[in-house]
Amino acid sequence: MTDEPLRLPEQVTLRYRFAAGSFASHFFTTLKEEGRLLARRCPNGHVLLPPRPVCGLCNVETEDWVEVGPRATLGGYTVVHVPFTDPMTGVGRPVPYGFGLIRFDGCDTNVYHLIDETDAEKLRIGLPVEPVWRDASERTGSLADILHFRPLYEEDA
Amino acid sequence: MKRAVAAVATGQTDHASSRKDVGIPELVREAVDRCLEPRELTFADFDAVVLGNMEMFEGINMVEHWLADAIGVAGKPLWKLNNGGTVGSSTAVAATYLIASGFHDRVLCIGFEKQSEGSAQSSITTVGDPIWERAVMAGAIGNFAAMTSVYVNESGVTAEQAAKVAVKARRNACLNPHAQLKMPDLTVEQVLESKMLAHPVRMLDFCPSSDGACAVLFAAEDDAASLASRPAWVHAAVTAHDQQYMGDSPKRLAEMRSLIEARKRGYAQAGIEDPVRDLDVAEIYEPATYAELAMYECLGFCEKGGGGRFIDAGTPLMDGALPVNPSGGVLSANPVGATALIRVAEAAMQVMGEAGEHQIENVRTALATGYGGNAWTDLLVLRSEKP
Amino acid sequence: MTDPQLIFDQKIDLPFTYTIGAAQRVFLRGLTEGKLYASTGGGERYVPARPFAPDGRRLDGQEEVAARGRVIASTTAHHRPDAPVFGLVLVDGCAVPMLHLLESELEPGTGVEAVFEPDAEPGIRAIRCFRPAQ
Repeated sequence: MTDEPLRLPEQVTLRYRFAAGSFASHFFTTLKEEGRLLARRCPNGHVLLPPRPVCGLCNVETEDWVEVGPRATLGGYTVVHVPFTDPMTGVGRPVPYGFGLIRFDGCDTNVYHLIDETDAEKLRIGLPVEPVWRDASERTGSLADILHFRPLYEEDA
Repeated sequence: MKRAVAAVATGQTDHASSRKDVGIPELVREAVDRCLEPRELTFADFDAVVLGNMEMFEGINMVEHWLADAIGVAGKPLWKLNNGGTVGSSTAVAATYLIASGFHDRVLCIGFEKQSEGSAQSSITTVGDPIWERAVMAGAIGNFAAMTSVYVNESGVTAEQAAKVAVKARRNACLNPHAQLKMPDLTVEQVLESKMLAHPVRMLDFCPSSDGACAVLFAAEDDAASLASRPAWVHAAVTAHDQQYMGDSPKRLAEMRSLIEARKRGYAQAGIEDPVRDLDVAEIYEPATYAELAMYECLGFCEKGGGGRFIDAGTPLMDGALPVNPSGGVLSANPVGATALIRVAEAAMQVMGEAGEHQIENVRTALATGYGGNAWTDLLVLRSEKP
Repeated sequence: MTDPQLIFDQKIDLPFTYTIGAAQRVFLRGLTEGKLYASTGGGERYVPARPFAPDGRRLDGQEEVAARGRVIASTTAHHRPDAPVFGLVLVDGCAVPMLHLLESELEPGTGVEAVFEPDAEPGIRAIRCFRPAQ
């Protein structure tokens, strides 16, 4: 009998149905139906996205909704050259692609999203960007309703 | 601490990109045997286990049950931790608390990962928030590179300075029989010409993916002194976390809040005021070259923004004033569930005089850190003198 | 807030490839040849093969054993398609029973033998099931 290495493949497919909760539901419903972005503000003035019941910086409950953006600035960026297959869709994202931290005007935290630029030399921290939206008819109520962020080079001082 | 705790024995596998000869149980047992057998210890010689592993990378849940016979825990108390790259050092922090409190006398810490068996980048998607983050993930490298852009912007460190970290790591690895990536002739130019993964992080700037395991035995007071001629006494064991969403702390490298918090508490516990003077060696968890430069700053080895100048001056090299990662570090081997425990083991080996060819002379005080997940941090200080 | 409460449906595919250790390689390949190999040590035998005994002892030996045993317990999984029958079978001479499929529900104590799948790849399903000993 051979003693060659033996490896057995197994694919595990996990299926979930996540309840988004009241904060996310309000955010995404407003995003989908009105194209507005709502963040949560705590009594000490921190404006947070994703919206959440408690401010992690102060450990106090957030108290109201605040509209932010849609304009934003880059909080951090990269251009990715490593192919990435989304394990949820099986679809590969073509490389290279821009990716980074987006800080909506008026917000204190960042969210990750895609950037419509593949030359890293043209990007910088603080660059103004704006969201490029899917057609209203294609929106499903998720952050993917924004296709990516477009650098506003023409406005960059 | 109520009772003094020390590391008294360590064991590691020879870390590799793929161990085709063994399954996970045999891999873990190798590290456990290497820890216990040289000191003629058996499974009867410890009373609890803390096991660390990122279960999603191998897709085996309740891995502690599955490995019960491999690690000899039938009938014994066991805790399983699962907190990202930090998990290995978290097992050491947990063991310290379990023994210091008096609930246990001898605790075996084990960490492992067999990354060749899974798809870490797919599994890492599950780390992202299902509602907010999963739809736009870019794997660990995209996240890390975006953080790096903020650090580079603030500090002005150059790609050349980062490359020096890669050269140091892979050359140090040549003196460590357990390290995976040994490159005695690696140059800065080769690092700068290696494939760009995600700007500015290149292939040779980043840690490998590994199969490996590590085990460390901790004991208390006189028992520790009887088990090892030169125990590595724990003078600080702390852990700190940060906010939950990945975008909450864009300055996660530039100003690593959890590492700074852990440093302040840990240095206070151990009485460290000037780390370059008070530490003899440091084994830190650097997932990439830029992270190591940022960690020099967050650990107080140099001023904020001075990480690049710190390596330019040669201080963290093997013959410098504060050698950092004489083992080759995470850049030379990264079996995630074991990696942070390997930092603790290597720091302990330095204090115990068991580091062989990569032993630094006259080590009295060693630092070990763990980093992982959404910037969870562990920090331990080990000394040759009992606290 | 009277927004609809949203549900996010997700499916995540995770591919794994498990490396098989020495004792289990022999065991799984043996099944494709219609043979059952037990791991041995300290006077005990274990099927399926395994590197360590429950008390942590290394099982360094390996020997072929007859693919026969007796039923310890069985149950029908009515909630699964085709309602498969699962059984704990103690292979003759072994220390602990193994879990596998039975041809039908059988009383505890019934003598059984393994039915091997022809042309199978190495894997636990190279045994198709256990049936009453002929």
